[in-house]
Amino acid sequence: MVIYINGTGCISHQNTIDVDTFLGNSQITCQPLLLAQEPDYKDYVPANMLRRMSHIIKMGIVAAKISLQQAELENVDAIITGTGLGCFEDTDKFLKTIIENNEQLLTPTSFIQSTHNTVAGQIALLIKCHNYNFTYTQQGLSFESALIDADMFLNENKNSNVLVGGLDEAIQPYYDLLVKAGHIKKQEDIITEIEKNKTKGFCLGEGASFFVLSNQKNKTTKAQIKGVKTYAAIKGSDDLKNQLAIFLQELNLSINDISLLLPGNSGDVEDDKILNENNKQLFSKTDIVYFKNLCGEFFTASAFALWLASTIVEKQRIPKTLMHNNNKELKNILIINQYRNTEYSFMCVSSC
Amino acid sequence: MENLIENLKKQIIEQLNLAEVKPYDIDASAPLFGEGLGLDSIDALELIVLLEKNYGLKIQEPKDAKNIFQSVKTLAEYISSHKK
Repeated sequence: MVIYINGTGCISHQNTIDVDTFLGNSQITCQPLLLAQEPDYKDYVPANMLRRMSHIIKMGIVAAKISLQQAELENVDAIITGTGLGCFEDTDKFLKTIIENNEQLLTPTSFIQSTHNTVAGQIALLIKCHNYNFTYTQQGLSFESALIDADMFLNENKNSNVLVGGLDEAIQPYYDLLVKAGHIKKQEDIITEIEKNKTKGFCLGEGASFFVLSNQKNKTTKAQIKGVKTYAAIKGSDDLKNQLAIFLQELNLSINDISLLLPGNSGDVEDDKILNENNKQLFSKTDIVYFKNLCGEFFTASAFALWLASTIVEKQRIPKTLMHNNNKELKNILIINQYRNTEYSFMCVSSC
Repeated sequence: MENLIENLKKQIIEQLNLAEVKPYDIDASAPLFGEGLGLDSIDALELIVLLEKNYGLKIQEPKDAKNIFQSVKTLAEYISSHKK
């Protein structure tokens, strides 16, 4: 797999719109709910269109528009998104109205916008793209599934550009349910160094990250994706080690070739157990940057990790707030993500 | 009638999420669709729900809808003449 990243756009809990400062003012927020820093959407979308867009649609459309601007494109050959929960706010609104109004008097807007593939559709409407349009909803592997589909599309359609995004929104009823289920970290247990957590639970995040991908390198190319692999179940630390060895071998890389590791530690002591063992045993000499203390945990947090990795590779710089004194060449960045210790993925991003 | 028109303006703004529009921006006699507020077919469905939910009125003849939804004023006239 060789896919070039020719444009990126990201909305997250950090100020990721301002790429020039590149997380210069980033902060590890010790809060159980990490909402996205939103731009003034009117700068990107006409006001009359905004009124029917929920939070996730606005985040997705703006991130997609920024990535297209960076790639100097107005249209693409395919739009592929990945989302764990889709347009959850409107789904919640629509279902509540069904109950409250006894299945009567249902308004069309919430219904239209409650489907998981609304964002990909809205982007297509906005840029008038009548091409391939697909959305993957595969829990913690939703974004990676979209990436794998983009790879297959680019293999079949040379000289193409594909817009790929991963996005999820954190809404209050969902957060409340996660608190009730004991999945959210208690305020007093939150620490800035996510890998040193000794307690259960994670901080819920949200965001939208989009990428213009192509099999053609050009003047806007930032980085390349060398490989993506997903695992629906990992049986333990040894299994993860074996799968990683196979993944790196397929890319003709070894552990020593990895300049930087981005592990998807969520801060939950149980869920991070395998990752922590792996980090300690295999990557003791590798620089490590954790990312879920920046964006929070959500089904498509790996899309934020890919944005972070591709921007680090492009700028050849790790933001000082994440790591001091890094002067090494940043050639290969490995992302190892996990969601609730069940779904794992590897992504390798390289300079080009 | 004046009170009804003012209430309708507020309800339309809320139902259609016209965040940029204030009640005084809406000319009660101006067309709701195409020109004026520039509403579309999805908004028409939202207005039908608004009419039923807030005033208990169902439009029996679909062909009448065009005249009823001509403007805020025509909508208010329909409500005041049909409300039980």
